Amino acid sequence: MLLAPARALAMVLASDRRVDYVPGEVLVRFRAGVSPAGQQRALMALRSRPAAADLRWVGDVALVTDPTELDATILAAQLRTQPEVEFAEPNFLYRTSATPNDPGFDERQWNLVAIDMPRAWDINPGANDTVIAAVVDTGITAVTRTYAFQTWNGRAIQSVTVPFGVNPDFKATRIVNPRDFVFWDGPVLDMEGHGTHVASTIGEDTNNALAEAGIAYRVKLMPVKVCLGFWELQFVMSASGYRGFLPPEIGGCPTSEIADGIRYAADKGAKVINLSLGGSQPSSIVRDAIAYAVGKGAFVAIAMGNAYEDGNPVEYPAAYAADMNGVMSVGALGRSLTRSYYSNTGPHLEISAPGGDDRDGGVRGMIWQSTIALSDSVPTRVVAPRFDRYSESAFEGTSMATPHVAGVAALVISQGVTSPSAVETVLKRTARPLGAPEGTSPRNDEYGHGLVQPRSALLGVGVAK
Amino acid sequence: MTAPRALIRLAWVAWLLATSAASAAAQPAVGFVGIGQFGYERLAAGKSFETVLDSAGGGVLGGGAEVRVGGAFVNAAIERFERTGQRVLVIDGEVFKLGIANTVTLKPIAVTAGWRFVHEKATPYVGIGVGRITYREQSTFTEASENVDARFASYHILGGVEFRNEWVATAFEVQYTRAPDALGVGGASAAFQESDLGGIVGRVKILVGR
Repeated sequence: MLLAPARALAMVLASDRRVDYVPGEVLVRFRAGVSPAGQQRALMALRSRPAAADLRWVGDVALVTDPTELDATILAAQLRTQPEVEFAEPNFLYRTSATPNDPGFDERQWNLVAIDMPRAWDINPGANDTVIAAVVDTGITAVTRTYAFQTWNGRAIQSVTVPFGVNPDFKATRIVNPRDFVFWDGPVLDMEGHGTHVASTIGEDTNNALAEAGIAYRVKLMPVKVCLGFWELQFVMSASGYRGFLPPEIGGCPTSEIADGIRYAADKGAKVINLSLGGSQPSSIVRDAIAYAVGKGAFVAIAMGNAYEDGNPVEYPAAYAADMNGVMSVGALGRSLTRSYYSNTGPHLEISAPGGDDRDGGVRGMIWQSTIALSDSVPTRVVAPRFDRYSESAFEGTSMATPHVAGVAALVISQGVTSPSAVETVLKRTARPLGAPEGTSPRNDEYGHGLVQPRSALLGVGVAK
Repeated sequence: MTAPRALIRLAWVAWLLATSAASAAAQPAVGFVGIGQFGYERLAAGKSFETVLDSAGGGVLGGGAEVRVGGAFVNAAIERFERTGQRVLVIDGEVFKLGIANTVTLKPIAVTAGWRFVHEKATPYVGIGVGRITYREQSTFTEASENVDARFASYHILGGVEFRNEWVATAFEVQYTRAPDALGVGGASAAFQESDLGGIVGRVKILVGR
């Protein structure tokens, strides 16, 4: 089990203390040329004096755990004073960027019509299986199997059997190289629904008279699980003897695992990486991982964040996108193709796509895709969840906008545009400007370069036009 | 240019005019000629066309008619160039081919006036003229509004040599055409900043008549 009880407890503490890092964990990069003895000397600055030989490495950055000091900002400050250390930062927790809602309506995928997908599919019907799109998120269930977990039932810890199933709207052959970095060494299991919903927008099976449609419905999908939710933590805490329910909203995505996941996806040949997650703290380790992935030929799409009405903070890693070719930050639009009320803005916003807005059309204005049936797993409703049944669910968020861009990027890549920076240029040049007064620059902080236009991106140009 | 060389050139032109005048006297006063022609055109916007069509030029086929009065002539001709390539993306000078068929058709109509230095066997000639080029470009998946169907003014100069055998003659001709500001607003031509739709044509003409 990758998710040790101590780490699960740390996640609980993060929720209790309302901090945005994993308590007791710090990421350290030592200066070039520092020997293991030098690393050990630096680590002696910490009260627990961890051994250099026991460090977990994410690329060239070490994850240091000190259970005696839960305030990771103090740990980072202590290490930064050491001459052997280049940088040290807490292991921040990023979060997924969507809010689910209940399904049950007839008019659904306005989002695909809004970006003219039917005519785009005339040119490129769903990309092809040489393109791999990695979803770095809560996971996409890759097996049909039942597992036994411990959980709290309100009075006692009990063992429950939890069935998992592959989404019937993803052919099993389309799921490649799944990897869980955060829960266990076993198969990837989505216990939250966010990752599956995101993946469905990118490439849900299409033209099969089942559920909804996905944009690049022929690509291979790579589930990379880096986020923990309620059930993973509840299971581990109950198994370690914790008597009680955890807060329903508990969980997060440690930057150490995000960076690991991004590097893994790039190493395994992903040409598109979707990051529908973020947080208010910058992370060098995530930034470096994204740069690594672009260097390996992967285009990266990142959610801008959903905190516009909470001060519109700069969120990361979206903020890195403007300075990195081949990486795009994505804002969300509602059904009227105006900015969704929650969608962050800023000079680092690069492009917009439908993300849903329940203030603009109610639940019909949200993004409908296939995911695990939420009625089977809502923590406040069930004691023993199940994750083997799927239904169409409406979510909204920049998390939902981002896979639109990732899916379109996959189409463009399968068309022959192989460079991530060229993909970004194409998407920007062909975007439909929004919110820009006549005669002004088409790019603005509210919509970036505008609404992604897959058909124009795929059509290219002739000699004269 | 030195004095002897200038004198030699002047003498050559004078001989051409004198002998052509003499030969022209042997031709009918007014002649009518039908023309069939084929050749190869190298387009001025070579980079743009090569990017889309995999070639900076191509074969042309056409025909026309000519009226001759003594050594002077006026002709009108129409030609056709058509080639299919694929749509592209040009990003920072790098070209990405998209596999979408794209067909370019050029139909120049030109009127030329000139002078024929008539001789028994070989008749050199020069001319100058104006024309109109119809440019069409269309692709799979494009709609009518996304296709191109436009006409542009052009001007040209040409020169050639005609070899006559009774009522039939064969001519070898080179023509330089300019059609400025016809391209360069969109497409690959904008990326490469090429705006001239003209070019150089080398053609063979079969003329029937006198």
